[in-house]
Amino acid sequence: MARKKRSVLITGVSHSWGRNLAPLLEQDPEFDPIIGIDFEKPKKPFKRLEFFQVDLHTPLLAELLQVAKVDTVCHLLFLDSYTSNEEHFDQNVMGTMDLLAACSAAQTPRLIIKSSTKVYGAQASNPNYISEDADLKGQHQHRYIQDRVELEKMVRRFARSNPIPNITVLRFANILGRTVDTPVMRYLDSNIVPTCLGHDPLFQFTHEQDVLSALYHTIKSDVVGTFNISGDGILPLSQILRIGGKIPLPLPSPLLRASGMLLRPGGRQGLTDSIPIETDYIMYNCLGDTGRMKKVLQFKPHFSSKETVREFFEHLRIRRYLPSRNKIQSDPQSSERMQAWIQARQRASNYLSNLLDDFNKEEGYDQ
Amino acid sequence: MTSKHSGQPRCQGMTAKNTPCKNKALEGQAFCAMHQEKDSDNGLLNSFPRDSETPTEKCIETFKECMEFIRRRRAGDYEIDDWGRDDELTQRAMFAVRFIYKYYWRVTVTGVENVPVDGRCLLVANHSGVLPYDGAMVVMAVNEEHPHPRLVRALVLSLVFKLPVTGPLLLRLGGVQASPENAEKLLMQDELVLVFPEGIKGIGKPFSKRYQLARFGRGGFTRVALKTKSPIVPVSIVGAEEIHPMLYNMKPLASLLGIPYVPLTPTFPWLGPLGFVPLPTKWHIHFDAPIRLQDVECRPSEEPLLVSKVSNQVRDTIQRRIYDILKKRRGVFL
Repeated sequence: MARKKRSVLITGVSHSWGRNLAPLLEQDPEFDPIIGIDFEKPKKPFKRLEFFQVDLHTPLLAELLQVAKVDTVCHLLFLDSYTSNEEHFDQNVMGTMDLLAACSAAQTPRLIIKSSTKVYGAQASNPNYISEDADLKGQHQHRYIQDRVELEKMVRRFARSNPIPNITVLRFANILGRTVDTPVMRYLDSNIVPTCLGHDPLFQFTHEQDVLSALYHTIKSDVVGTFNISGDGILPLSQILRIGGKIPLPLPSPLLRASGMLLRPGGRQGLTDSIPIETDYIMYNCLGDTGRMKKVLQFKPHFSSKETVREFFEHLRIRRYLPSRNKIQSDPQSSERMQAWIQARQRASNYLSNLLDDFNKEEGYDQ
Repeated sequence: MTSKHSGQPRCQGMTAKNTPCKNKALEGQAFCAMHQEKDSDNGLLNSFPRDSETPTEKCIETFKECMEFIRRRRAGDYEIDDWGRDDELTQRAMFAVRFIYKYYWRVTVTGVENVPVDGRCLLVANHSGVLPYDGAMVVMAVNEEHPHPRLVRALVLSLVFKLPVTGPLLLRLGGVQASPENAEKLLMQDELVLVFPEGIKGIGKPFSKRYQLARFGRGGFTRVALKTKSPIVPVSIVGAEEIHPMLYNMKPLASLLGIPYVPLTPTFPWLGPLGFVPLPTKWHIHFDAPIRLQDVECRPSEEPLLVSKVSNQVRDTIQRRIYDILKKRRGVFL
């Protein structure tokens, strides 16, 4: 049964999520055409994806959506920043506002937004598992959380007044993986990890591959709503550090908060990376309830939280011994092609030799 | 060696005086019960070399096991369940709690059979004693006395999770932060949940108000029980009120420290760290018959009335039972 062709637009294809999602959609013939926009040039050319180097403020966006009859807009463009950054805010929040306006004007049926469970905010009064309908209390110093909260609140307001497009928000728990750069990944990267004295919060993790498959799954299905997405199981911070063989550096919470403030003068980026995760998130739990993901979205993550953490630390350990990426670069696709070519050659030569043997037998020239 | 009055053979064993045993042998065997036991004991000892029985070997085994445990903990090779409870650690901590339960507070438990063997259930108890030992004792009572021991999830005031050390500790030992969402989710998973609706008002009440139940929160526990159709088992605890008699509450110091109360007890600030040792009172825990809410149907408009009715019923049951137990109590420490 041939399904109707779908047209998809992805924002932020030059950044890690879009770049990794694009090949998944390209190999599925159901999606045609696939349009990608970003304000940066992609590192590698795409196979089928039509790329435009524009930002979200472009006035042509609505026309583009209308002419291409885009069914699904997948909004992945989001710039993480630790300090207040007007440019990033302009892209993250104001850009999304323009995108929403364009979608609504072009009557685009569906919009998918990638978000984070961090928007709930880490507080001692949180229930163990926070449901999707809970208030967004993520008011923090770090800009990337504030921007997300603001974005989500804006999307909520918009969805109340404009029923089209149908908006699906995917809130991912802490993402770990080999290629992505997330705050949690930076936090766990150093050998000595600052923790909060007397606090040991529980963490949930999503593997980067599960993020991509969740996005792909959502684009393929027609589900509408907000979903928390995370791998199964939870881990206390102490256990994570033990698995990774990291040395915890317990600091009392006032000191942690003060260092966060002192090391962030005037928006200088270098110093703020000392503790790239907000103090509250290493003190209190912030876990999303994944019941709705399993029941309504019917998505099952491939990696559990523990597997994700183990794989991440294995990668961290082996990373030092790998050759640098820039010098030696073997493309997995071309090695596949090479294998196919070799096999074809082998088959051809086998066929020829068989033919020759048969010919020889028939002629009786064997002896 | 056949006897004259029956066909049953006599025992083949020898007595201590080296005469043949006069007992009848067991069915199909050559020895009587006494000698057979002895014999098989010998056989066991012969078949297993004695080495694993010597105290030194036992010590080494225990030591090895401990080192293995420490190694696994250090490697992060352990599991915690969905609610942050660390089963392995809890089993080890149980040892100390069991000692206190049996020999320090000598807890008497009655009516434990009222706790259902399976399925969801909400235990509602009175709270007292400055430090929340009563939760641990109820958990222990169900674990020790119930014919089918069950895991009890105690709901713990969220303030505990705000403070350092206590929060993670109680979480590992099976506490869950007290919120309607958590209670509902736990009951939906058919767990046994323990709740203290009095909360801070109960545990921090002065000694003069002992055994007088405080307000039962806002009836949130009833609402959750009605929503999840779980039975409520009222639990009355007697003895916990006297472990730390709070004579005076130093409120200014408490608000400075960000905790709800700093008690003055006969021992607390005066004896230094010894002040933290609770008094060895005699405890009595009674589980009442469950209040069934499975078949209760009500219109949404009637729900608030039902909630307050059930809350009051539970509160009255506990209060009445406490007075019943107090009537028969001969002394605080007996």
